[in-house]
This record gives sequence, C-alpha cells and structure tokens, in this order.
Amino acid sequence: MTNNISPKIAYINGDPFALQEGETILSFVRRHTTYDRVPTLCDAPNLEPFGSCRVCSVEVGLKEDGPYKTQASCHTPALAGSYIVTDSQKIQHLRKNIVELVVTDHPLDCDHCDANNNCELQTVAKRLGVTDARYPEGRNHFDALPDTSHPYMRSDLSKCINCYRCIRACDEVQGELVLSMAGRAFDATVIKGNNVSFFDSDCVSCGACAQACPTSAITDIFDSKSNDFEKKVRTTCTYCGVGCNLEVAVKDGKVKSIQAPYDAEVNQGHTCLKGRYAFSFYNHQDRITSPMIRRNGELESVSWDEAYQYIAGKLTEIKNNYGPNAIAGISSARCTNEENYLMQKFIRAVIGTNNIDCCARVCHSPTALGMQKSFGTGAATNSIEELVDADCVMIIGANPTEAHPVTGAKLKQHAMKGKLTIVIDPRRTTLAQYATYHLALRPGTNVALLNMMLYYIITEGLEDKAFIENRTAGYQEFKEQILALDMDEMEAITHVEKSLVKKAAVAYASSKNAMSFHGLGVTEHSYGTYAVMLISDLAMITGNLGRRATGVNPLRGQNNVQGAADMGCQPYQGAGYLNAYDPEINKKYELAYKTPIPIDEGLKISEMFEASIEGKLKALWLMGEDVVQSDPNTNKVIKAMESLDLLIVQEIFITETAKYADVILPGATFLEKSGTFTNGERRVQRVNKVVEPLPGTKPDGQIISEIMNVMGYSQNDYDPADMLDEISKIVPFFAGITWENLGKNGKQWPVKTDGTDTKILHGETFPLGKGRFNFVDFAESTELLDNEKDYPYILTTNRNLEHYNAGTMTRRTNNVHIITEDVLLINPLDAANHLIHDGDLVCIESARGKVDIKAKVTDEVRPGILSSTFHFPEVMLNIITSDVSDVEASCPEYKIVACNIRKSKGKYKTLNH
Amino acid sequence: MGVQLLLEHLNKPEINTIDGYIKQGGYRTLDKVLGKMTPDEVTEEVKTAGLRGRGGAGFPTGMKWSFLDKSTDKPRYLLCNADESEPGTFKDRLLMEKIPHLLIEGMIVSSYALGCRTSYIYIRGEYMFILRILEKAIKEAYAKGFLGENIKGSGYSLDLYVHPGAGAYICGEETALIESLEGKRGNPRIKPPFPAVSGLWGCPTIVNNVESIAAVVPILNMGGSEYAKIGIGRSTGTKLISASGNINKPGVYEIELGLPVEEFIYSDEYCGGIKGGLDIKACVPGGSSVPILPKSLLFKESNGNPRLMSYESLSEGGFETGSMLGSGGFIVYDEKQCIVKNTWTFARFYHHESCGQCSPCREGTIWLDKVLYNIEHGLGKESDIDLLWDIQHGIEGNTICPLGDAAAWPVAAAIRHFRHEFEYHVKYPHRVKDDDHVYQPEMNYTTA
Repeated sequence: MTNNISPKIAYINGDPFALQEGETILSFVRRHTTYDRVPTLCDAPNLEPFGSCRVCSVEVGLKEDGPYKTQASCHTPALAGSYIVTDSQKIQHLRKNIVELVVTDHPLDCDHCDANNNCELQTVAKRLGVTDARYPEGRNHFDALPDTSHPYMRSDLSKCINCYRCIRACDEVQGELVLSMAGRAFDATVIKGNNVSFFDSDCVSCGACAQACPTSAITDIFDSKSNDFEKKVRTTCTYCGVGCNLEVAVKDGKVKSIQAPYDAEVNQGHTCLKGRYAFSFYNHQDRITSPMIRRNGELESVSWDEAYQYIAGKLTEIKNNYGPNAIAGISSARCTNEENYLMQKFIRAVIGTNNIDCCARVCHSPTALGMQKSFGTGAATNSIEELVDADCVMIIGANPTEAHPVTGAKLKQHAMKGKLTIVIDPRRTTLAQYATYHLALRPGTNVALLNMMLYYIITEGLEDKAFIENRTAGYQEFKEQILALDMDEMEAITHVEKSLVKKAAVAYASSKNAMSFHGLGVTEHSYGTYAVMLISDLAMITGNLGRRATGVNPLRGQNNVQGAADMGCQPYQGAGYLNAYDPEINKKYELAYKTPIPIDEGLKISEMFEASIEGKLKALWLMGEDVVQSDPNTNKVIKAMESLDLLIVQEIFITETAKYADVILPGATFLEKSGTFTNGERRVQRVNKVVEPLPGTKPDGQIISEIMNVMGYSQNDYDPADMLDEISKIVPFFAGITWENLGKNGKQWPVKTDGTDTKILHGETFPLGKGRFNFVDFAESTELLDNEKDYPYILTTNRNLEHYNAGTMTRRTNNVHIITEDVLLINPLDAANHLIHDGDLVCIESARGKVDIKAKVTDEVRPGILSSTFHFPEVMLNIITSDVSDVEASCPEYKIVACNIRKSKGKYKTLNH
Repeated sequence: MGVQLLLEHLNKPEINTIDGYIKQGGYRTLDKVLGKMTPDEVTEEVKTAGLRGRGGAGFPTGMKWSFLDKSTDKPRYLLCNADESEPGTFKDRLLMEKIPHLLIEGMIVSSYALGCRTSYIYIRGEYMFILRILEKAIKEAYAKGFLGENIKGSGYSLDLYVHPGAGAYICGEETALIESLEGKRGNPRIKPPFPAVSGLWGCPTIVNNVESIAAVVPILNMGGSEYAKIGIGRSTGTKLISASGNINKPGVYEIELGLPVEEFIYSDEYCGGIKGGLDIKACVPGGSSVPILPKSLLFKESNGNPRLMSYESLSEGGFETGSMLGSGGFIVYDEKQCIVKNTWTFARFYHHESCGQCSPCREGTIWLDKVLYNIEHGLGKESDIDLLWDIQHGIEGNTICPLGDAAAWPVAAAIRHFRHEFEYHVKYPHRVKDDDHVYQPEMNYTTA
C-alpha cells in the first residue's frame, strides 16, 4: 500500500490524514487530533517554532515498517506519506527523561506557586508521570533572587526552565530585545538588558514575556497565571484605537488580572502595559460615586433623582429662554457606540440642536474630512493584519510604538526585518531609528513634503497609469499643478534634502504593496485636512488602494473615536454620516426618532468655547471629556467653562474640567458596562461587562437614556443589543450587525445585511465613484507667521507609552511609577545655548502663557524643535498650546507652538499623589 | 611518508609569506580557474575529487556546494569554519599558522565556485595570534591583487575577512557560527531552512572547514580525478591527523586515507609507538566526540580485516564495534590510563560548552558531568552507570545541533566497551580516591 499513497496524506498513529503544504508535524497532529495530543514546553501559539525543549519529539518513518527516527515535531516539516507515531514507548521514555532532567532544577513547591494548576511544566510532568527525579543533590538555581524592582513585572528565575519563550516573545512579538540569555549550558540564565533589574532595563512592561512563560518564572504583580479566579470575561480594551481583545479574570467581583487571548484577530495574544496592567483605576478611591450639584460654590452629593430633576429643570429653562442652540453636548470617544449614539440622539431629538461634537474633532477630524473628499469614506481603507504582506510601510506623523503599542510592535517587526520603511516625522522616533528613510521635516510642512514626493513620482514616471485612468478623476490638472512646484523652494521649507525625498518617493512608488499610516502629526495642523488629501493622492497615484496590504490607514487615537464619529457625534453629520443639514435626509432621522430634528448648523468644540465666552452658549453637557486639560489654550477653555450657566460633567473622576462643573454625574468604566467599540480598522467589537458598576455609578448610556425619559422622551433602558438593533436600522454600514453575530472578534464595517463584513475598502469603486485628486500648495501656519519673531522655537506635542491623553486613568495606576511627569525634549545644542542641563526646570513661554517643565536633553529632536506630552495636570502644557485650528475641520494645531525657553526661576515642582 | 598535498611545503623557507608561497607554486589555481573555468566546472572538479568535509561530519563538499540556493538574487557567502576547539584536534591550527596562503588561495577559488562577493574566516578566539597571521596574509594577497576588485583581471571580485569567536566551542557548529558572525549569541538554529538556502543574514551560505577549503587547491592543481585516485574507496585524498596521547611522536601528520591504524600508531614515520613501551589500551580516533575504541577493536574491524584510517573503515559496524574518522583528533591511551577519568574530562568539556538551548543537552550534560565526577571520585552507586546510559541516550539525537550527540557518544562508548572500569570504581571507591589512580584490577591496590 505504501506505493499508492496520495502525496497529500500522512499518517498519525496509523490513520491517514490530509496534509497541508509546509506545515510542521506538530501543527498537522494538532489539526487532526487535539491541541495537546503532543506535549510541549517551548512552543507557544504566537511564537515561531524553536525546538529546544524536545518534549514534542515524535517518531517519524518514511515507511510503515520503519526505520523510525525521533524528531522534534514543532519545527520538522511533515512529509507526505510519512508515518508519525506520537506516543510510542520509546518516545514516552524520552519525554519522561527530559522532563525528569528539567525538574531536577525546578523547585517543586507547586502548592505555593501562583501558577499552580496552570503551569505547563506541571501539566506535562503530571501527564508523563514524573513526580520525582532519580538524581542526587547537586548544583541548582533555587537560590536565584526574585526581581521585585518593577511596578508590574516580576521574575523568579529559580522557576525558569530555559525555554526561551520570554526572550522570543520580547523579540518576536514586542520587538524590544530586552530579554536575552547569558551564560552557557547549565549557567544559561535569562537576563534583562545588560543583566539589570526589570525596572532599570528598557522593558516596556508589555507583559508578553509573562504571558509566554510556561511556569511562573516571569510573571506580574497580578499573578496573571493564577487559576484562582471565578470567571474570565472577554472584552475590548478602552485605551487606544488598536482595539485589543482582553481576557479579564474576575475574583470576588473584582478584576484580578488581564491577559490577551491568542485567538484575537486584532492582537493575537499581545497587548501593551495599558491594556494588560493599567486597570486598577476602575475601583480607585478617587472614583466619583454619587451625583453632585454645585450649591453655594461647593459640590454636594445628591440622589440620582434630584440630579436628573435639577438638570431637566435647568435645561428646560435655558431652552425656553435662549432656544435649544444655547445648549451643546460633547460626546466621548472613550464610551461605546451605543452611548455615543444615545448622546447625539439626546442632543438632537430631545434638546433639539445640532450642537454635538466629540473629541474626534481634536484628533482625526481632518482625516475623516480629507479622506471623504478624496474617496468618499473617512476611515482606514485596510486592516492592520495585512502588514505581514506589505513591501513598504510609510508612517507619517505617528509614533505608534508609544501611542498604538500593538500596531507599533508590528510595524517595528516590519522595520526590524529590514523591509522598506519610510518615516516622516520631525522627531527621531523609535520607528525612525529602524526606518530605511527618515524624513525629519520641520513641523508644519507635511503639505510641502508630500508634494515633493508626488512631484518625484511623476517626474520619475512611476505613476500607476491604469489605476489613474480607471479609478480616478482630476489627474491632468493635478499633475500640472504639482509639476509647477519648485523643489528647491520646497527643500528650503521642509528642511529635508530633496534627494532623500526623491529616494523615499521612488521606494514608495516602486513597491508592489505599500501601506501608509498616519497619526496626529498629520492632522493636528492648520492644514491637516490638506495633508490627508495628499496622502490619499499618493495612494491613488501609485495604485495602492483597494488591494491587500495597501491603502491609507489613519491610526485612530482613542478606543472608539471611529465609532463616535460613525454614530453622528459631529454637528454636520448624523448617525451614519448623513448630512444633518439636509431637510430631506433628516426625514429619515425624524422617522426613526419619532420627533422633529433640527437642521440649524451646530457648533464644533472650539466654536462652543467661543460661543460660551460670547454668552451665546449657556449649557454644556460633557460626557467623559476633560477639555480643560486636553484642549489647547487652557486659559481660554477655563474661561469658556466659567462663562456657562450650566456645566454638566459625566465622569469617573474629578478631572480638571469637573472642577468647574455645576452638576457631576458618576459614569462607569469600560469594565463595568457592555456595548461596542469600533477600532481604527473599522472593526466593531463587543465590550462585555466584567464587573458590576461601583455602587453609586451608572453606565453612561444608562444615564443618558434616563435623562431622556425624565425630559419627556420615551427611550428604552440602555441595553447594547437593543441599541445595536436601532443603530443597524439607521446607519447603513451597520446594516448586518447584531449583538450576537459580532462574536469574539467583531466585524469590520460596512457589514451587509447578511452579516458579511469588509476587510478592504474601495476594491472596485469609491463611494464617490472615482477617487478625486486634490492639489494644495503649502502655506505656513499663522501661529508661526504671527509669533516666530518673539518665539523662535517650535514645540510639538507627543505621547508616552505609559500614559493615556489627560492621564485621568493611567495616573491612577502603577504606570505613574514608571513615568512620573511630563518632560521637555530639547536638543543638546539648544540646551547648551540656554545653559540648560538634563533635569533642569525650564520655563516655556508662548503667546498664550507659560509653564515650567523638566528638561530632557536628547537628540531625538533637532535644534530649534522642542517636544513634550500633556499627560500631567501639574504641568498643564496646554496652557501654551495654540487655538489655531485646521482651516477645514477645526482640529486644533497641537503640533505647532511658537515658543521661547529659558531656565526656570521657579522651584522644582513635585507630584502630589 | 606518503603523498603530501597540504603540508608538502611546510618546512620551506618563508612559506608563511606570499612570496615564499608563490615560489612553491602557490596561487597557481587563480590563473587556472578565475575566468577560465565556470564556477560550475570548479564545483564539478571538487565533486569528482570526492572530497569529504574535513571538519568531522565527512559530508561530500561538492554536493554541499551544489545545494547552494542560486535561485535568488541575494548575495551568497562562503564561511570558513576555523573554530577548531575540540580536545585533541589541532590540525587547522598548523595549516593556518604555517601556510596561511593555502587557506586564502582555497577561499578565493571556492568563493569563485560559489559566486560569493564576500567571504569570512571565522576563527576560534583563542587563536588570536593566528588571526594576525591570516590578516597579514590577506593584506599581502590584497597587495598582489589576489583579493579585492577584479582579481588578476578576471572580472571576479572578492573581499575576505577574518572574524574571531569569543571562546565558545558551540560556534564551530555551522548555524551557531552564523549567529555569532551576525553578532548574536552563538545558539544553533533549527533546520530547515539549511544555511545553503538561508544562512548568514538570511542569504545562501556555505560553511566549510579550513582543511576542506585548503584541499580545494591541490584538487584544482592536479584535477579532481587525479585526487580521487589517492586514498581508498570513497575516502579520497589525504587527511590531516592530529595525534596526541601516550605516543612517542605527537603531532600533525598528513596521511593518505586508507593507511592501517596499526601502522599509523607504530610506524616511526607517524606516532612512533606507545611511550615508555607500554601496551595500548584504547584510542579515540576522531576527536573527543567520537566513540572510544578498545585495543581489541582498534587494529581489526569486527570482520577481521585490518582497521584503516578511512571514513568507512573506522566506522565499520556502527557504534557497536566502530567509531568515526571525525576531525582526525587521534588520542591514544596506554594501559595505565583510567577510562572513567577520561570520560569525565570529556563530559566536563561538553557541560561547559553546551549552549544551554535544548533541555536534554543543557540539563543532561551537567548530570553526565556530576554523575561521572561521583563515580570517578569514589562516590558512585551501581545504579549510576545505568543512569549515565539513560542520560546519554536522552541527549543523543534529541537536540537541535550535534553537540548533544558529541556529548553523548563518548559516554556511551566508554560504558559499552569499559563497563568493568565503571563497576570497579563503584565497587572499590577507596581505591580510586587518589587523583592519579590507575585502573588495573590485577594490580593489587593497597587500602588507602
């Protein structure tokens, strides 16, 4: 029979099974039997085969009657027609011998170990019947000292079995290269950095090593591997727009630990320190646990009823006296789709105004607008997972290794493999250090630089003529305008050598599949929308659209900023981006909301502040938005808050904004509610309630639906499945979404009624029909034109890995022990000119005001450029940022602040916690 | 002395300089090969010659070359493995120290055959003085235009570098060598992919031993078929043997393959017999990793034919009755040597040199060391002998690289052929406490 076997068949313990091209023996056996059919120690689902533990050995013969050879199944390719014996006596003996050797150097104190009953060594040893070792006493590693230096990470290398999983996770998953092996043979031991502690190493606390460790040699303060929990709930992370799936262990009604599920399509068993470890804010003592009303200048706790009655009375009064347009709402990209939908419905249907906006305004509104103008849809065209097939990656104005860590890690892997990577950023970010080309432009000159790239693609004849011909419009005129530009002039504007730009442009245009990613470094400018349009032009001119591993991919900032915009939290577009000012279209909403809907133009966030200061806006409802700390020109924002008659803040903590509130309503965190978030790749994913809301708090959707009812609108109780049902009837691209069919990994919109989702947009055609080429010429920001004389430095804002935006949540976790304050990045030359040393307190002054901040002298920024974060209210960096904003989308220009510096006279400030 | 192909000019004046080397006919192959023969023709000559890897494994060099992936436009690399660090093996050292240009000439023509633009000699860190010799020789070769751009107007260009290891035996394993050359920790890689497809920096790579590369020079000078006539059967050509142990004339000898073992040990041309007129007890014929052969199996194969210095004859009968030619590290033991002590010495070496990647090797080598220490020092138990057997059995064939096998084989062979010595140690612990003890049951030990 051996002569007649099909070439696609191999045998497992005598039975034939179909073989897949190129699979290993282990995956072949796992696919056809059970996952644990063959025991393993060094194998992990998200790591490359390694072959070091040899416990997965099996016998393989090319003929049924042998001879058989012992081979490690994890990395040996399965051969067609081969005979695999998984558990022969010889193999069992071998495995037992190996594990016996391993346990000779393992403290068998399982009962006291946090990984007890969830330890892979324990499981394998038990299965093979290894209880004790035949070996005499000898040298061992039991005296290895535990490392407790870090706020999260722990190691106890006496439990290490040298499987390299932590090292490989650090290399292959996170790409941080912190862990490595030192010493040889029996002395081989895992070290961090140059054999320092976790805290002193460059560890970014992603926890990939802790999750990968088969024992508990590397773990964390939450004993993440412990089996001591009541249930595990899968949910979606609340931090950035990557949308990692999390698996939350719950004990005694409290969150015990968080791991990343391996079957998550978004994050494949990986997440960052925010997702994995920074959850302890949820039951922090600072949580607001009762509604409050300001009376005689003091906030007093009141009942929910009293708060609702008070709000309803005040809002009705303002509406009666000044009209509905004197009231505005700002929704939250931190909240669920359902809550955002309810918020805009409340403002439009109950209050009767289009004064609704959300924080997409201050981050990616130019992306939405720019891409709508180019393609017709303002969302990422492709999916992150496609990165593996990308030949070229272009990252513009984004620092994903800090702001979108899991996507950042994937991009870093791409760059570290030596694949073509172009980074356009004023700062030498981590990715810039690994990039093929780093175009370190002067802040605010994206438009000029992108035009240079377009120019060289045209002059080098690298356009995709077929794509331009078939899929786009307006190219001829566009081409003429681009070719009319003077490259020497552009070089002088951008401060980037034109030869370098040309190389990068040629590389991008010559790649088969080129993906572009952009972040707030593109959008938070006076001409952000234009830069987005040019990025779209680059994709169109090279035909990098509608295919796998191509496209224009904004890295959306917040967990649900995509969703908040999708749900209609902007004045000019309702749920599903339908024109809110068109009476015909509005009829659809009126039918659904069963009430008249306004068509007056509404206010954007910055306009709300203006209106408030001018006395036109009387009441503002903020759902989960700390405008005082996070919006630019703090003093102006504070003035706007103070000018209001009624400021309602729905929050989990007393934020800088909440300090000005007239009414505070205690909302709930993502761990305490259900709903959906839409990540940066249009993936609608379920958020599942993990624990009950803290006593006294309510899910934000619940609060909105209750106030709607109090104000006379009949709205069902907040129930995500119910809400999704309503949304799917209004939002066209949600048509096929139900709570049930979202499943574990969600669906990427548009979702057809039959439930099929869309990984790649614009495959055949654009929503606009043809893609539009839009030419824009460079213009200098008015911030610089007006102020550069007195304020010669340019400050550009950035993000830290450890903190999230205003830091409201992350500052209430151990993350604050890792990064304790905002610092100012300053080039050594500038520092020397001002006699500033590393760690000195520096005063930065702009036309708006001044702040004191600690200096970090680094060549990460070029001379003349400064950079800092605004995570800490102690610094309040936004006091100096400008309220100049994008000419099209009103997104504030956080990325350019004309300023001056000097050594501070003030005393060094410390944190108060 | 038989035919000398590599060491023929060993004692010629100034053979270590390029002029002295050229005077003896050195660098002739450049004129013969570069631009005159196609790379494939060179490979074909090496195949015809039947040259087998001189590092120890004995894999046909020409066949290895033909595995080089030529389907990609990636650069290809030839790496010379000069990480000679096995106890008892010191042949490459002599070659590089005395006739460095032979290796460089071999590197040039071999690189030409493989289409390499850049090649490396990865040399054992302890051979730093030889690294300097090689670098001086390379400099001389560049000056003569034998290296660099457009060698001798042939259009072929090659850059050659010497890179030192940092004291790890494991870096002599070809994939660990590649890792080390890339600047990483020298851990062996899993195969496939093999280096010929994805080696140095992910590019097609061939790793050859110093002696193999040097042998390419006489092969091209005399022609592959002439070379194949030397030797016996599939063991063609000559082989450098580093002889050590209790012999009268330790040193490096170039032998024609097929020389009887007995002749090699007792002939005055070679080892010159056992020191002090003692009897021979055993011999490790191919470097510390190959099985030890007792006197009874050393001179005759199990079928009664004389045992020859060839790949086939030395491995006759598998490990039951044979051993391996290996790297040619020929260690001879007289009747007074203690096999347990010797085995422990080897075990200690492999314990020290295991990279620690694979569990069986990392944990197994230390236990071989510990258990052998105990037996050797009179602390052993009867069951320890079986335990040793179990440990070595668990290592052999169950590791990523052959270091595991190398650690297991000497222990297995020692127990297989000299089990009585182990039993003696366990039975008479007080008699073996002395460090200089000699195992000789018939000698009447007095109680210590």
